[in-house]
Amino acid sequence: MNAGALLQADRVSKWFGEVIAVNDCSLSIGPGVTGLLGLNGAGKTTLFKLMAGLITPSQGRIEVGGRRLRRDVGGFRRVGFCPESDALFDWLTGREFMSLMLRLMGFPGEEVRARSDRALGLVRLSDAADKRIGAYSKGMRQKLKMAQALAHEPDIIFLDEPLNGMDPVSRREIIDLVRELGGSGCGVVVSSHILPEIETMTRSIVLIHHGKLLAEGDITEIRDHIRNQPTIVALHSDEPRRLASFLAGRDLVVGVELDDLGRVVARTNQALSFYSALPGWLLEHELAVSEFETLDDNLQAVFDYLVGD
Amino acid sequence: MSEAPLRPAAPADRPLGLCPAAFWIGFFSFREMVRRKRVYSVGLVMLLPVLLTLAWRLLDGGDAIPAALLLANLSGMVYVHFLVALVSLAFGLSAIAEEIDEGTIIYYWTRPLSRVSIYIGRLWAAQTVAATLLVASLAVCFLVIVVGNFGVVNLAFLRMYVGTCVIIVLGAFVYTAVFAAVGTWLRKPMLPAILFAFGWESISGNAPLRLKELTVVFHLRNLIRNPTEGTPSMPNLLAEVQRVLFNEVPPSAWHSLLVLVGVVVVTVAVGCWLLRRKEIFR
Repeated sequence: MNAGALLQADRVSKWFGEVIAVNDCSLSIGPGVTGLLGLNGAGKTTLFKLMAGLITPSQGRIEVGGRRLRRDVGGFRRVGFCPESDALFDWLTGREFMSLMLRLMGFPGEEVRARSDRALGLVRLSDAADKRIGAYSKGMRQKLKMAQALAHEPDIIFLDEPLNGMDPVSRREIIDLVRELGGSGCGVVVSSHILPEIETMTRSIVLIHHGKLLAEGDITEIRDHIRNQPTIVALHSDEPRRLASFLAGRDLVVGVELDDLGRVVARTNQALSFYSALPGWLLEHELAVSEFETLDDNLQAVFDYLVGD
Repeated sequence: MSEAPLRPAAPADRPLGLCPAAFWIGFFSFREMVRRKRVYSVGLVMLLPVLLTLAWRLLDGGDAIPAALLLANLSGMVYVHFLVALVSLAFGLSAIAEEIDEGTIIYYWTRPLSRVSIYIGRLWAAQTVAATLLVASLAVCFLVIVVGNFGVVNLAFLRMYVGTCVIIVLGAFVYTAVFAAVGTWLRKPMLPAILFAFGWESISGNAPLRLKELTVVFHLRNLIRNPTEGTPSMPNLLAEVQRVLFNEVPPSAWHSLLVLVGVVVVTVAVGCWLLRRKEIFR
């Protein structure tokens, strides 16, 4: 098990009849936010449910905090789960639902009330706490699902499409909350098909495709490993031609051009080395660069390159 | 967000005990079940014996049919034969199946508790709701019989009323346990459950020889002390014919009670086993 890993999956496979949903996946999840990405049918949901202990692997093992959840249900005290499904106990009030969830975590009465109030406050549902859940809007239901997932202060939280149906303000609030949870040392695994949303929460991703783990780690590092698609970096300079001719002679640069905006656009197969070397080059040769940006070092580009779209 | 999330401090990593987990699931499930629209529709059906009692009170008033005989027929023909199975079907079938269909069972599955406690908690809530509705209906019937007609109330009548309540509650517990297991087992359990309740139970429950002993309704009826025994009424004539022709001796009340308890134990065990094996992918 990796030191500091909250979740460890070791050669996990899951098949349904003759269909292999997850194929020989090994990964570890540590503190902070991790995005779980994949196209529809890629096996993302199955892997998510395997990690959260909702289904058992056909082969391999998954441990959360060193425990196999389906065999050792006590380990669920350390886990929070926010399902994608909109299903909730519509005939209970929000507060009753939270009380049930916390009671089942083993908390006594006073603590149930305190934690319930605190969690409902965190997701800004305090005013609607005594309304029947059936009367909640989709965004409110989503927030309530979040509240039950974090009220018992788990070590690791699984959020399946947590921003579905939320208005922009609530979306912002939940993104901030997820980042805050990740920053506090909690492991947060977020599954979403909306890549820009994932990108606002984290740079750390797990990418699954056709049931196989395609990539795991920081987006920039993953991007750097995609050698057949050079990273494109745009640099703003007062002397674009001089900068372009300088960069054209570097080993780390595989192509240079000037674009319509007057920027120097460089392509590199080793982005991380390029980023390290760039400040030294600029100082040494007194080249002024006012701004630089990576044009395809984003989640969408990485995703597209890896899954071949 | 204005407030920092709470961290750390999870309680000890032990599973929640069977009893507290089942209690809290049952407690909140009961609150949830009694608020569902289903309660009102089933409640309306529960008015059927009340209407029959009202009709008896208005048309007969106890002249031709004594109150004890009315109560015996209500319990035997209306409650045990029809309403107990119907109410149990309405709440038992959905006790677990609805949670799985709707996907809400995920919230239980991601808590530190055994699936046995989930099953028992949900079943207990369904049984309590079903039994409460039946007993409430019988209580209203009792009031219709006795209000302004206190002459019918004597120790034998009260004992019979209490006995009927107990049998109805027992019936609700048994049938609900059976239907909960069926609901956990089958993806589309409604038709098989109806066929069981109103096909197998009705037909086999009156069949000759020992076939009827394989039904729940037979054992429930066997527990009812019928005041019409010894009178030349049609049901007893049939029973007498069967007894003479097939040399039938009904089992003792204890035997029937044991069978009913056995049915609950077996169906709960099967239901728990089925739930432990379930996986959902929604």
